[in-house]
Amino acid sequence: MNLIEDISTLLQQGLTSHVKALIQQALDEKVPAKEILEQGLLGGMNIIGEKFKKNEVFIPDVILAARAMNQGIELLRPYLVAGTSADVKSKGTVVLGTVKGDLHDIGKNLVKMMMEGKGLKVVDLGIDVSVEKYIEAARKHNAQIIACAALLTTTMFHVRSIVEAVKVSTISASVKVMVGGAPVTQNFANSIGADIYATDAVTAAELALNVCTREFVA
Amino acid sequence: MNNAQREFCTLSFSNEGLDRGAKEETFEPWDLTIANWEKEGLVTDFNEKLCVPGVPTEVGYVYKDRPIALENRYYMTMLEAPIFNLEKQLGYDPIKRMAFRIPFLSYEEQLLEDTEEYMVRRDRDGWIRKYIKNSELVIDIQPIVTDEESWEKHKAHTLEAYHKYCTDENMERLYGPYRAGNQKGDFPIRFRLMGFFWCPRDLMGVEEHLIAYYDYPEMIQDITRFQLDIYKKQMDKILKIIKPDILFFEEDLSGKNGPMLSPACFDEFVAPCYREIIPFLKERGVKNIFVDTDGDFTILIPNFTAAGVDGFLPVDVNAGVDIVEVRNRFPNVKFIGGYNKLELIEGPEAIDREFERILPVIKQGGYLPGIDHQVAPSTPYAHYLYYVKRLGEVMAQYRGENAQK
Repeated sequence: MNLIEDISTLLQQGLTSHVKALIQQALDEKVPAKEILEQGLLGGMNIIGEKFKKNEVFIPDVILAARAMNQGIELLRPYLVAGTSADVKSKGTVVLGTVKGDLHDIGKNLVKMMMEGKGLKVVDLGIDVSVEKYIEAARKHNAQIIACAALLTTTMFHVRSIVEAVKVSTISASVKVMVGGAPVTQNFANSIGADIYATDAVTAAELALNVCTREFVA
Repeated sequence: MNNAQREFCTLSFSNEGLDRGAKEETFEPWDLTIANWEKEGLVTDFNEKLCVPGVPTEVGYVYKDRPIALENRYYMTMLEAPIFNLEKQLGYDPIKRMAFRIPFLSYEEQLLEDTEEYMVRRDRDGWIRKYIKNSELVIDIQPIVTDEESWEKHKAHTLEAYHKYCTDENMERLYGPYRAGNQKGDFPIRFRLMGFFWCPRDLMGVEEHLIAYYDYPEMIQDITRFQLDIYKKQMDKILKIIKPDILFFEEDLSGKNGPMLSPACFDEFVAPCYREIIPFLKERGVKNIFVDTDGDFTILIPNFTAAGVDGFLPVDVNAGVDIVEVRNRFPNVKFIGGYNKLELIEGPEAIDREFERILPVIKQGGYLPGIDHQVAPSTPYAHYLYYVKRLGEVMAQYRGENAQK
C-alpha cells in the first residue's frame, strides 16, 4: 500500500479522519513530513483543482478536500521544522480579500483553498476590504500579489481604486494586482490596468504560482 | 386576449391566437437604480415607500412607514402594488408579484451586545450577526441551524409560528383581493417559493450548507421534507384562491463557473423534491414552473427537466450562458431573462445589437425576454426607457399571428 497515494486519494474524497489516520501512520513509519505534505496533501489538492476546472467535481468536493488538507497540515506542522531539511517554505505570498462594500466570500474562499493547495501562503483579509488595508498587508507580509475579488456590478469599480493605489505606492515594483469575480471580465481588467485577470479559483492559483515562482527564481 | 393569456401564449412555442408578445421584466427593480433614475427624471414614490431592510432576511423590500405584521411576511403580497405601479409607469405589461414564505422569520429581534463600534443582534431569522456601526458591513456570527439538534429546535419554533399565523383567515385576507382579477386574466401572477437548495443554505450558511450534504445528509433531507409538507398543505389552499401563471422556485445555485452542487448531489437531494411538488402544483392549475438559478446552470438542465421543470431565469449572460446556444441544445426549455444588462449602459446601438443576438430565441417562442437579473445602478434612465420601448417593438414584430418571419 502506498501511503502517500492513499492520503492523496482520501483527501480528494474529503475523508478528513481517514486522511489524518494515514498521516499519523506515515509519520510512525518515518515517511518525511515534507513528502507527506507535498505529494500527499498538496498533490491531492492539485488533482481536485484540475477536476474542478473541468467540472468533474464541484464546490462541496473542493471544500471537503480543503478541510482534509488543512487538518492534515495541522497534524504535520510540528514535524515541518523551520531551519531543517523538513522545513517547507511557501512558494510565495498572496494578500487576498473581497473589495470594499462586498460581502460575498465563497469565491474568495475557493481561491484561498486552491492557492494554499499550490503551496502559497495566503493572507486572507476577509470581506469589505479597503484599499489601504490591502496595501498595508502586502507591505507587512512581503506579498508578491494582491488578489481582489468583486462579486457585484456595483463593487467591481472598487477594483480600479486598488490598481491605481498600488501603482502610485512604494510597493508598485514588487506587487502585482490580480482581479476576479463574477462581473469582472478580461476587458474590464485590461481597462483598469490590472496585472492579472483570473476567470476562476483554479486559474487564479495557477497564475499566482507562476508569478511567485518566477519572482523567486529571479 | 387578456394579459394572462398573452403571457401564457408568449411562453408557448406557437403564435396561434397571440396578438403580440408580452412585454415583462424579469425581477423587481434595484433600489439603488431607482434612486439614480430619480435624479435623471423618473418621478416615483417607490423609494419613499419601500426600503431594503437593514436585516439580512428573505424579504426583498419592506414598507418604511408601517410595521409589518408577521402574516404579511409569510403570505407575501405586500410588495405587489408599488412594483406593479412602477412597472406600469415604465411601460410594461401588468404582472402581480407575490410569494408564500415558510415562517422561518419568526424570532424576536434581540440586542445581545452594543459597543461604540458595533452591535451584536439575534435577527428575525434566528441568526446572530455583528453590525458594524457607521458601515454597511454585517458579519455572520452564528446561523440558526448548525446540526440536527439546532434544526429540530428551529423546526419546532417555525411550526409554532406556522400554526399561529398561517391561518385560512389570513390567507383569504391577503390573497383573496386578487381572485377576481386573476380569474378574469387582468394580470398574470408571478409567484415565488424558496427552493430546496436555497432553504438549507439560508438556515446554515453557504459553506456549512455545502458540507452538510456530506456530514448531515439526513438532516438536509428532513429540511426539504419539512418544506415540501408545508408547501403542499399551503399551496393546496392558496391555489383555490389564485392560480399563478408562472411559479418559480428561488435556488441561486450556480455561479460563473457552474452549479454549486454536482448533478449526482442534485439528483439525490433536490430533484426528488421537484418530482414531488411539480405534479402537485400542475394538477392544481399552475401552468409554468420555473427555477431561478443565477449563474451558469446549464450542466443541470437535463436533471431539472427530468424532474418536471419547464424553464429557467434569469439566464445570466455574464456567467457565460448563451441563450441561443442553450436553446439549440434544449429546444423545449423555456426562459425568462437572457438580455445582457451591461449592454443597457452602452446605449441604443448596443441595445439594438443585443436584441439581434437573442432574436432567434424570441422567434422560436417559449421565451419572455428580460434583463438577466436586475438593472445595474450605473444604467442611464434614458437608455432603459429606450430598451423598454424596443422590447415592445420587438415582441410585437416577431411574436403574434402577424409576426414577421
